[in-house]
Amino acid sequence: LTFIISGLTSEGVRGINSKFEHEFSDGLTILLGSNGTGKTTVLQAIEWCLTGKLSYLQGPDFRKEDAIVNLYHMKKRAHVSAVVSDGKTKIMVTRTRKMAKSTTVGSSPVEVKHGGTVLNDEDAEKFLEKNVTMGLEYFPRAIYLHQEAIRDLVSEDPAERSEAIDRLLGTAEIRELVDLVDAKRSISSEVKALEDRAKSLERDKIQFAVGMRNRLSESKTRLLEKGHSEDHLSPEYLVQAMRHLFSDLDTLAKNRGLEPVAFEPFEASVASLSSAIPSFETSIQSLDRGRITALQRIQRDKVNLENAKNEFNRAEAEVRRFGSLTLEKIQGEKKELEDEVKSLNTINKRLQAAIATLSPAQARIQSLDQEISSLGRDIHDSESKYGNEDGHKSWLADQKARLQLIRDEASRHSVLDQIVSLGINYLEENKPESCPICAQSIDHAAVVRRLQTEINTSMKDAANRLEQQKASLSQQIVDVQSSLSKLQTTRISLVNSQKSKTEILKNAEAKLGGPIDEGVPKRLEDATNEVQQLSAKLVDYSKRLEETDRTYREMSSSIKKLEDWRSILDKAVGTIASGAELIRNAETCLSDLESDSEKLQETKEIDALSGRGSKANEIIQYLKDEEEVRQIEEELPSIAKLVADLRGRVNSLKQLEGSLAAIRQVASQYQKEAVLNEVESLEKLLNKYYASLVGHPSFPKLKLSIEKEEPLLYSIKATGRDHSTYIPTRFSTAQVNVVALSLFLSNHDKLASGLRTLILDDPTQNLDLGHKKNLATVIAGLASSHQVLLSTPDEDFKDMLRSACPEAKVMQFGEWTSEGPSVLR
Amino acid sequence: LPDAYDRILKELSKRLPSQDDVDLLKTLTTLLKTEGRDAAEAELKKMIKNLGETIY
Repeated sequence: LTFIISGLTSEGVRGINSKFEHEFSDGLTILLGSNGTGKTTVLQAIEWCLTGKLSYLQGPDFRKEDAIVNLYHMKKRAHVSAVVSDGKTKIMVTRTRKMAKSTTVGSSPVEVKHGGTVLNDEDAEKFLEKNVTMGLEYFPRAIYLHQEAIRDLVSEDPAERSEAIDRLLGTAEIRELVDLVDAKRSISSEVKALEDRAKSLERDKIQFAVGMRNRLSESKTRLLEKGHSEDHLSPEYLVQAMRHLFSDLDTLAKNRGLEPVAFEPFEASVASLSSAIPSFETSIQSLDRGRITALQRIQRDKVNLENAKNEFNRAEAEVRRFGSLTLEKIQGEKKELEDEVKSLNTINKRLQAAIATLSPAQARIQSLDQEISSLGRDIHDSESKYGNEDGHKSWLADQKARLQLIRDEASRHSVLDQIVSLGINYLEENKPESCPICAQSIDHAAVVRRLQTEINTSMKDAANRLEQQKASLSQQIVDVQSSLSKLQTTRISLVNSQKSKTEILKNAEAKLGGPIDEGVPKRLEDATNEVQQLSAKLVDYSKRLEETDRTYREMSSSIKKLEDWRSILDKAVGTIASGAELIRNAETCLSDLESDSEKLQETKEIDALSGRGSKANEIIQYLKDEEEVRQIEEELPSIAKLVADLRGRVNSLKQLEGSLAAIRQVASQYQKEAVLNEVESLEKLLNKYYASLVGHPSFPKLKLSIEKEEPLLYSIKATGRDHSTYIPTRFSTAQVNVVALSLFLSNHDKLASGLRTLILDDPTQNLDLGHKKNLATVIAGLASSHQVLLSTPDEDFKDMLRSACPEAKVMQFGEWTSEGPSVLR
Repeated sequence: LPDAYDRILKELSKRLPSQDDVDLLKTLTTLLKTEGRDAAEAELKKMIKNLGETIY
């Protein structure tokens, strides 16, 4: 053992995207970190670089995509360099890969630099196998213990467990071959299908030919019994028979006045005659259809003619019903009635116009009379108070004069009031002791007081009285003026209403074209009565006119019907006649149709031809069967060839089955031997490691043996001095985990390679505390002479390892990112 | 060092009764070695199908 892995540079591989570099030293290195931080990725990068494979990336999922190249890598390229060193020499191993469609396809070329030498591809792989790894199959058995190796071994399924043991013992490939060549079932199924087919060909076809020949013989007998002779059973005879049939059919069609029969020419072969028979049947069916159509047409014509004849007779009777009456006479009567109605309508129209004029005029005059009467009453009311218009005016003049007098008196009182006021002012200012007018001695103050009291009182009374008189007069004047104004307006309205009444009357007279001496109401009443009388007359005339019209229409219709049926009958009979002659012609024609109908109802000749056709058909069926039997009999030798080919294939398949069985037998034997040899050669080492790891006082030894063959299943037993027991059934999964570790470590000891490195990926996954302590001690021992790269998420185990091996280094992994793993220290 | 499949071929060839068996083994181990289990299975199925398939 010489080399260790001293350095790793990786990029674009598994969980590593950006460049990841690390230097490894001898002894124990613990890759510590939680699950998913990239520890396994780093270990896989080493395996892939040195071997070009990743042992456990197998199965259908890995064929769906390339699981080696990192998904996020820009160039989609994996590039890993590992340096292996023995202290003096360094070997640089570089492997690359472009992302492929699947993990199992695509190449991963390698380059090895050793001293000044550069080796590539096959040379490089050979160099690595010889000096470093001992080859791909040894790596997962003796150098790199994968998590999956432990996981598969602790499986509850004995087959899976046995496969896992095979992978650690190096016998997995031989198991794969044994499984592969187990194709007995699918070969047997194919053999059975081929044999069934061969039997079916032999049995069915030959039996069918014999049966057909028998049935043909029976058919012939039946035909001879029916009156056919041997000579009839030939295509040549049938050609002649068919020609006669078609010819007779054509003649029959012509005789019946039907379409001639056309047919394709045919020759003396079964194929040609086979098509002639349906053609003949079609023709005879067509002829019969033509006969039925013609018969239906004649019967329809008969019914139509009979109907036309009856209808013609009925129409003649109808026309006779009108006697001597003619359409012209009815027309004359109708004309007279229409003229009368026209004249009455003119009068009616005039009267209606008069009513239309008089009715509103009468309504308006009535309204105006009411208005005039009301106005007359208003005038009488006004005049009863103040007289007529002049009376009103005279009354107004008197009142106005009286008002003027009161105003004058009021004016005088005002002047007097001013004089007294002036006198009082004089007395108060001059305070005279005598009267300036009479010079009599006065007490001016007393005079002032008296003047103020007496004069003021009498003056105010007079002023109030005058004011009341003035107001009363003013009101009377307003009333009279108002009454006068109303009287004048009413008189104007009265005049206007009278004018309107006159105008209405004039207008009505103008419209009616003469004076209305008797008055509008009388005239209106007369006109209304006249209109009523006219209406009654018009109703009567209308009824008579309708009756005349109906008679005219009925007579016209009967005459037209008679004419139509005469025309139809003429057309049906093919003559131009009328009356009794026409009826005689129709009866002759009906008799002819009856005769034609009887002819077409006759089917004896068609039936006879159809019978001959059926006989010909019997012969052609016989000839067809005869030809088919001949063909089947001709085919019989080629069926024998097919059967021989099928039997040859069966033999080949059986040979293949035999070869596969032989391979399976020797491979199974070889597998058994290889396993037993391997177990025997490992026994000492296995027990050494098992005893160290398991630490069980009663069962210190491990016994691996073959439990069952086809397929090979192993038993794993723990043994002591007196007892042995199955580990998977009696112990915990920890013991099975220990078995995996023991097998792997034994392999490592036994299979010397150039690499003294042990890679252990999460080796304690099922171990309990005691086993972990034992494993830490074993690893510490190995680390003194080996490089051990051990990954674990278990902090306790890390502490146990450091306690057992103080010089151990720890690679602490941080959170994984899309760039890859990160090593904290 | 010989590959596992090469070793198997070498070892079993000595034990097989006929050359046809050896040839078949060689075909299968070569496929297992170069293209894997699926390819070998497919080839075997193809051999059986070709012998069993007829057009009549």
